[in-house]
Amino acid sequence: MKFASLEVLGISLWRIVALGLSCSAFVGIVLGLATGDALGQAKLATLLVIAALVFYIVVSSPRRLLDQQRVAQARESLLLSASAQACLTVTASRTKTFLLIRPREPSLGAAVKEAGRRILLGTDVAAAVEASSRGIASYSAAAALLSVARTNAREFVGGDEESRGLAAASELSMETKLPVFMTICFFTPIMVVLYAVFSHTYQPERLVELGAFEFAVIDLGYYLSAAERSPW
Amino acid sequence: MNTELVRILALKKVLESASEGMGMAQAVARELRRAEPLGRESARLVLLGHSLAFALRPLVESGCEEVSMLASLIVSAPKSSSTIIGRSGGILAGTLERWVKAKESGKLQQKALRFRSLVTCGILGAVTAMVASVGPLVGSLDLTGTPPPTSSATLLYSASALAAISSGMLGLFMSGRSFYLNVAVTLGVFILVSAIASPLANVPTVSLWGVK
Repeated sequence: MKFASLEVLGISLWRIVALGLSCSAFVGIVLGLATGDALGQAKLATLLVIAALVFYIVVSSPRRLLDQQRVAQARESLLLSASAQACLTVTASRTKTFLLIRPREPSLGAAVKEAGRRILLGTDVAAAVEASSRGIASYSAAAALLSVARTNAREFVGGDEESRGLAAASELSMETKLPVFMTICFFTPIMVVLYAVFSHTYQPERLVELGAFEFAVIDLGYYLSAAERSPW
Repeated sequence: MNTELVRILALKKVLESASEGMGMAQAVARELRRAEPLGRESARLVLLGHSLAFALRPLVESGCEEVSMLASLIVSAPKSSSTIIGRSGGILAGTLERWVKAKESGKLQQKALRFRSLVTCGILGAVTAMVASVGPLVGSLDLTGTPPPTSSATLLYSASALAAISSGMLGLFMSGRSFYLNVAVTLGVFILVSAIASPLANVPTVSLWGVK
């Protein structure tokens, strides 16, 4: 896990760890009650594995949020770069440019607004943009802002390459995760039915408990596989 | 042609006209008039005297991010210069056009993956039905002499529910709201295979205790 994601999103490490522990404990207890005695001796080990996976999902959620922000900002950086370039050419003023541009992406908009506030308070444009661009997840978006602030550049700094890289990474990730999720969905009900057959578990209440276990396993697989999002 | 691509191309023409010195509102009225309904509505609003921000709102809020980006750039023209926005927007339009085409090819891949998930659900239904039908018979072949509990109907219903849950989740992952198709395929195949395998499931169980 990248701790940089916690810094960017302003989340305390201990708070997210505590949240992860409480979520995993809650899921473990609820699933323990829902599955009853259907899993037999394997119950404790299974619940521990599921609780560990829930902990991972909760603790890694800031990184996934940051990845999503990065995708949105990389796309937005194209528009930001084009509009900043036009503003800079017309106004010939870096200060006015930063006060005129309005990114649509919320976190990028907040960074530009913060830069504008610092500039109005008298901070140097380059220093103000550098300070506020620390919270930007996409390097293309940060580069677009910094190029306007520092070098007075009039060239187009796009986020196309970053978006392409993110798309390629997302596709590769999906190529790995999709077969895994398909395997989970295919084999879990078969294995549960086989378990019921060979342990002679035919009582309806025991079968419902096995159903709850199957749902928990597939749901975890779903959350672990659905983490990535392609830019297009 | 794809509607989003048509809109991108129409907005690209607007930017090209603006970069050649034409006013942005005039370019919108001239180029979008020939485009699809949403573009025509924007051109109509410009001709009625509304501001660019108001006239292009249908395109900004069209739901397609690429179209929205390009329309937002055109809306920002009054703050700077139409000619310069037209020039810088040309590069942006080219990139966005590529993105829309990439999105289109992604949709085709998604269709193939949906079909694959339907096939997987069909096989899942068949295998689960076979295991649930024949499983109790195989499970009863023990040499302990204790009569096994025979409740294959409960197991059959439970197995169908388990398969439906699994295929529903797979459908949700692959095709979102159309997950019911996966569930329908699984249950259809499950019913068919369990009907075919029912003679096997009804074979009376014989205790093998003492059989040489």
